[in-house]
Amino acid sequence: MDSRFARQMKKGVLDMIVLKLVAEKETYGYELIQELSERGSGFFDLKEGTLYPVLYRLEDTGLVKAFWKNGEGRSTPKKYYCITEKGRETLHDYYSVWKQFEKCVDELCREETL
Amino acid sequence: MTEDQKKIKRYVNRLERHLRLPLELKVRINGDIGTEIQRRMESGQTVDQVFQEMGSPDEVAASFNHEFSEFEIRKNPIRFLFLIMAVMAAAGELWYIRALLQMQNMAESLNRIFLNPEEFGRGSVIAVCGFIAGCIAAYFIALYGRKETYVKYRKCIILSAVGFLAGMTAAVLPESTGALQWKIPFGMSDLVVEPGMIINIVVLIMSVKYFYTQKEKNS
Repeated sequence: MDSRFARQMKKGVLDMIVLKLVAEKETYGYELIQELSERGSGFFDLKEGTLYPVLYRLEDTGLVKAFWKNGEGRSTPKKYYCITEKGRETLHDYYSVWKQFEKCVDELCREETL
Repeated sequence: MTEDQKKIKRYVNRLERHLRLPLELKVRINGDIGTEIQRRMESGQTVDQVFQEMGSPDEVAASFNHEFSEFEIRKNPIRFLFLIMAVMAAAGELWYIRALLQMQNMAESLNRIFLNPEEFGRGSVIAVCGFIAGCIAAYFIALYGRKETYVKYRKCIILSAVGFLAGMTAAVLPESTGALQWKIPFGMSDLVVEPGMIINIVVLIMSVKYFYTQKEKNS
């Protein structure tokens, strides 16, 4: 799952995938890494060095918002991310583009033509 | 400090050393990575397990440098040339002042040093100080590049402005001849070029330009 082609594909959709997970619920970096690993079918086994640039980009463009939440008991405060209204609209746009892209690629690469 | 805390501190410090990014981005990354390490340990992992999963500080830094390549700060190696020139000029200046003081004490001992005290006076000392200020300012400009926070360029502006003023002051003093000047024959007379003034003017222009460019980006 780590060919150059797969890496390029992954890079292209990572913003949308991370935005989708943040839209589902307020979450933090390590939780996102775990979710992506569990639900990503091997495509999205990320490390912090790959995930955090995506989060920073989403935050700096106003698509997600970061806030600190006190942990339970003596645990350290956690930095959570939540989606903004602009983020929801952008996610919707990304998904529309993705569906069109997927359909187009599917048609071009249909079995009979290979 | 516990052993684990020392390991975390070493990890985060090494990560920061390998990040070639602007300071505010480094601070952001270090804060988040430190928090991530704590969080993973709270979920039951040992510090060594955390480091193994996250990767070495070099790998993490390489990943961030790659993802933020448009912000990457490239330290120009030419900065060491300016540093060496500043150190040599300072050493030469101190040697000259020492020799001058000795001359003042033993004015008749002209055989001991071959300096002519009338030829090099206070103007030359000021000119060399201006040259040193320009070299130090050039060192910092080469270190920062054009992508640092605008506040950092202030010291380059101040240093090169002071160096420029020192050069101008030295130029109007009658006894400042010979020190750090290139005389190029030009027709009937000589064209005098002062490298210190050139360095200061160039660095001043660059610093002011980068200052305002980065200030605009941040506003």
